[in-house]
Order: sequence, then structure tokens, then C-alpha cells
Amino acid sequence: MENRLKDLRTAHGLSQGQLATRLGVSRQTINAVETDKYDPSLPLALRLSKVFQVPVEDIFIDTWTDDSAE
Amino acid sequence: MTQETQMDAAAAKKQKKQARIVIEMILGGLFGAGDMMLLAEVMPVELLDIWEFIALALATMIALVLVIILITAASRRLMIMRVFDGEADEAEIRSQRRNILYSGLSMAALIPPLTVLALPELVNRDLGMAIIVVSLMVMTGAGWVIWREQDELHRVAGLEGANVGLGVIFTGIFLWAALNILGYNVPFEPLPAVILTILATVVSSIIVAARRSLFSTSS
Repeated sequence: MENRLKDLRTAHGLSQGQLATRLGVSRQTINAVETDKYDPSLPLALRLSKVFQVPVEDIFIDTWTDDSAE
Repeated sequence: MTQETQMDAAAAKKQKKQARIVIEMILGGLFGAGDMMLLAEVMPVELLDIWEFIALALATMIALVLVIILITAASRRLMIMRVFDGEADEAEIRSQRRNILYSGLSMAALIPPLTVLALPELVNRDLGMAIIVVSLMVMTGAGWVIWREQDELHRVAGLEGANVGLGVIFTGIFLWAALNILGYNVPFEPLPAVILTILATVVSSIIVAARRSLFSTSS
């Protein structure tokens, strides 16, 4: 899933390592999320939302649409 | 910093990374070749069959990699890792020291059983069996600690690696057994089965780690 994590992280002046330490995950996890190699778990997505103080949907870009909706 | 300067910096970084990969590949080749030459020198190669030689080569390779891992994990200033990866983040490696040590322990535990299986005449049957059982227990214990230490990405990568590995091993063993049972004269032997299982596990781990960009350095 595409995301704006790298933009948000650099805008906050954080390195991958610093953000990882703050979230209690490895630096590779942050790198894998930023490069679309890994979609984080719901708890991690919510933690990212808290750190950057933006809604989850402002970090992750979901292009799915519910065509069956009325 | 202008856009042009940023592009130059990115190109320089990419070039540096490519150069490092080439150096690592050359070092790896020399390392492997040296390992084989050393083994051929010290072992009575003419008395070993090909699979026994491969098992001992694998054990020697693991031992040499283990030395590097242990020096890296134990090194106060982490100079070894700096030689291998100029961009390595000291804090990152330090935070993973426990994981690295237990991975090293798990690898070390593979050496005695491989040696026993390759050279069963070295020890009596009961001692050989005891060595293998203890080693498997150590590997299981270390694996449990590693699992607890891992974060979510590493756990997912571990599960994917296990999944890919199981597929490769199942296919290989099934076809091999079929060739043997259906009379194609391909002997089904335990030592090659163990060695190919280990190699399949290593290959599947590398595939998954590369797919999840676990080898990339920080930006």
C-alpha cells in the first residue's frame, strides 16, 4: 500500500532509526513500510498516526472503492 | 540543497552501494574458496563421498560465519561491521545484539550434528544421538528467544521464509522419493536430505529478506 511515511518522517526531522526507536520496532520495518515492501499491523499504523498527529488515512493511501455500496 | 545536488548525492550513494556489493561478492567468493581449500587440505577428502564433503564444508562455512557474527556482536566499537557495511548504524546493530548472539548460537548448534552425520564413525552411536538431540534442543530454544526478540516485520518475514522453505522442501523430497520408488535409480539418502533441507531454508530466507528489503541500509 502506498504511503506518505517518508514525507512525514523527514518533515518531522526524524531518521528511520529514530522513528523506529520511538515506535519500538526495527529500522528495517520503517524502511520496508516506506518502500511499500510491508504493510504495517493495525497497532503500528495507529502508533504512526499518533506520532505524526494525523489520521491513519492521511499516512496510507487506499485506492480500493466499494463498488457494491448503494 | 538544490535538486541537481540532491540527484548527484543520490547517484554517488548508489554508486558507493554498488561498489560495496561488488567488494562483498569478491570477499564472499574468496572466503568460500579459502574455506574449501582449507577443508580439502585438512580432511582426507579421498575417504569422503560428495555429500559428506558438502556437509563438512557447510559446517566449516557456518563456523567461519559464526566467528564474524560473534566478533561483530561482541565488539565494543563494532569495527568489523563498519568494514563490511560503512553505513551500518551502530545503535541499530547494538539494539539487535541479543538477536545476533542467539542467531549465532542457533547456527553453532548446527555444526556438531552436521559433523556427526558426515563422519558417524568419529563417535559411538549413543554419543552421536545425544549430540544431535542436544543440538536440536539448543536450536529450538534459541529459535524461541529469537522469535520473542523480533518485531512484526521480522516475524512476518520468518513466517514467509518458513512457508517458501516448506514448499521447496516438500516438492524436492516428494519428487526425490518418487524417483526412488518408481525405479529411476536415484538413491534416497538421509544426509543429502538434511543438507538440501538446510540449503532450501537458507535460500528461502534470502528470497524473503530481499523481497521485504531487509538488506537495505538506512536513509
